Amino acid sequence: MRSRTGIVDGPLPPFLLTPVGLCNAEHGALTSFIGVVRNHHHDRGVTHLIYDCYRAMAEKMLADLVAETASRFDSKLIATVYHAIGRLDPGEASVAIHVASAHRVAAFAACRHMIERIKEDLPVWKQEFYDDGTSLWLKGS
Amino acid sequence: MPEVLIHYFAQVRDRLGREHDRVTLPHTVDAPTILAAVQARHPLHAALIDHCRVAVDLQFISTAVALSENSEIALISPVSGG
Repeated sequence: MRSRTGIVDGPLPPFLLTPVGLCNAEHGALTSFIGVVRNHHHDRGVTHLIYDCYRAMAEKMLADLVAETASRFDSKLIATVYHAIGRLDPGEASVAIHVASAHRVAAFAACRHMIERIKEDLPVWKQEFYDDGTSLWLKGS
Repeated sequence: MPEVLIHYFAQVRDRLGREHDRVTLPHTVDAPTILAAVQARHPLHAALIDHCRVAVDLQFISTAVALSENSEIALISPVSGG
């Protein structure tokens, strides 16, 4: 299996939330991070989110991120990284990262590295809708 | 001088009330020059624009870059993915 990345319209489907088939015989560790929509933020009730995206740049950035992560942590690393856009309700998955690596240290570090880079740089924006009928674009992560 | 599209997203698109502008820029530009050009078009939103990064052809820029008519520019306000 090769690394795969992408931007997905709507909540991430269940098959992207599992790392089935990611490991091969070279891998001894598998880590996953799943980001899920919360129903609250700073004591406000959140009814749903809408993610906006600069899609062409985000797709390129995710592919580049996996290559950069492999060169930094483990050249044999295989990863899948997907981010959802559009409307998501509480409990639905917005981001899914799976990393298969030879050793646990690289697997944990690579997974953490990729979600932190996504938080810092991926051109995706979250608009929160609250139970009082208002909404807000969040600034920064 | 190339005439290029500058794309807006999320809160920038909402506040400016448009998805893009067509702007004439020098052949070689840096991020402050591009931000200043957008601020000149939308002076009421200068502070918002000031907080944006600039991407040219799908990459953030930190130094001056050469533009062509086909260059794609985007203003990237602080992101909040994940």
